[in-house]
Amino acid sequence: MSTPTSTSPPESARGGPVTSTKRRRISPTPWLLLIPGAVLYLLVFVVPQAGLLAQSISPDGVAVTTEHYEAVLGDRFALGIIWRSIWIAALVAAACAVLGFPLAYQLSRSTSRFKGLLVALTLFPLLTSAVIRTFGWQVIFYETGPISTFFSWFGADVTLIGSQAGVIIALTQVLLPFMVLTLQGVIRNIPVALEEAAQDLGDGPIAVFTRVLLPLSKGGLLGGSLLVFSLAISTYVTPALIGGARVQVVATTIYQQAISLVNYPRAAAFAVVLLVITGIVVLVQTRLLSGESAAARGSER
Amino acid sequence: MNRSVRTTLRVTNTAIYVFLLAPLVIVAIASFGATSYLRFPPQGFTFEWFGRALSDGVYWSTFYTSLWVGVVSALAATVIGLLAAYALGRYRLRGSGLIGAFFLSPLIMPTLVFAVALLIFFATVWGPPGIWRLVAGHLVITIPYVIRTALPVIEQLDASLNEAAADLGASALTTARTITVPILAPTVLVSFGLAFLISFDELVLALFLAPPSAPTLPMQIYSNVQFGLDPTVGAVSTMLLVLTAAFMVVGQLITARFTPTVPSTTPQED
Repeated sequence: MSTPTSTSPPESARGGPVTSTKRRRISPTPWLLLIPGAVLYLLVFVVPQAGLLAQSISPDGVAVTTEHYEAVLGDRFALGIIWRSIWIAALVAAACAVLGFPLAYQLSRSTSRFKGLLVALTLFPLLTSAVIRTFGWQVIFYETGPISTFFSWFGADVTLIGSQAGVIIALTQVLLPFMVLTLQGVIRNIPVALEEAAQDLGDGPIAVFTRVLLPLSKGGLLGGSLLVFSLAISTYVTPALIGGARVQVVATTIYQQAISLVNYPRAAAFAVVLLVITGIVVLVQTRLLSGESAAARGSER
Repeated sequence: MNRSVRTTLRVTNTAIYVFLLAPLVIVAIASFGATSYLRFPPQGFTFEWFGRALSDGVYWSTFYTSLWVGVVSALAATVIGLLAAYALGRYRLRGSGLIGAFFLSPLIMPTLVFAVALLIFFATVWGPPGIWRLVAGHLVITIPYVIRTALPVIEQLDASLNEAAADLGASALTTARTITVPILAPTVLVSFGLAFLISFDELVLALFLAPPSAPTLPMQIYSNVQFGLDPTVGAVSTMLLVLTAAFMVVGQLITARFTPTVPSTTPQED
């Protein structure tokens, strides 16, 4: 999941294959090319989403009820699950911002011949299945695994499997590449000359960071954090395998309601709530990004 | 950047890379351990778990299911996505911005929400039989990636090349065969590979839509890791990691050789 890039072709490419003299001719061909995709989307994307909404407010298709939203938003236990999910996702986003910045900074400033390898190493976890990555954390977090063994040397009993901290650590690793990718694009556009100028004027490394880099990459940090937040709150595998029944979040609850309990209306209501949360995040993100690019354009002139 | 800052950055980033790659590396190393459950650091050394994984019929049958779903979904997604991208990139269409946003919209929709919606829709209204439900779901989540990969390339296609071919007497078919297809071929390959990888690895839609009689490989791995740290699953994961790395290298080679720009690859999270 990520923000769709702009799809309108640049003005110069708009003419398409038709020559300038025939530019205005309306051809049926492009519309025919769009039909297979449009039919597919209508059948298995648009209509099912509408069905989801319908299922949550009117399971039998006749009477309208708010019962299932009351069970989600009016129930202390269910609300607790929602808040926990938001809290976990927020912490994961913050952790990704902190860890992602130095990595993205080095990747975008690097002139090393190993740069390609470093980028590939960052991307590689993204292309591997989330199940396998989470499986690795299970091995690390297990009761007799390396983390617990390490802490037992100091007499501490630490088991991260089944804990909120474990879910946060694993999710941070799973989603960190998204943050690095977002930040890399932003930092690359900050001229090195600005950092050098600040240094020449006597700024130390910390001042360069807080007064030059941070303000200029604020948009990227926020955008990346929002992306990671919405991915973290809707990821199922990691909380299911690391947190289990002890760390219930919205994603695992949806699965439980839909698959284990076959309570479709309840699952639908939870899903719509999740959709609204991520929808708000996407809205904020697009507002931010459009503001950001407008500001960037302004500063170029 | 002075020396001390550079050193600090290097040390910090090495630690972050360790964190990023640790789970993958640890699974790979631990799967060679001789104990009957995966542990790190491993004790002993054996290929036994790889042998067991390769001789286990369940892993093969689920692998074939994933392969079939991946190839069928990726083929269809590449065709449908390319047609749409061609229409959007080559023609001046009324509302093309809106149409493009519509085709990319599955990217901003949590896969989990989409999975529940499809599950309920297929269960209560209408649904294709068996594994085709999963293929339908995978089509919707992979088509946006095909469009996003192909659209910039199609927009850059030089219309004058086609006109020149036509002026020289080439038929539409010859023009397509000798000009458009060769230019688009690497994009098509990369789109197909990306769609295949996403579909092959995908778990959430599979959990909701695949028939219990035909689980996919990620489903099999998922159900096995729920019950403990089976070293055979570790061996399967390690082999998949190697396959993914090989796939990535091939993809990089294709993009590096044929196109100046690298398409953005940001697969969905499970």
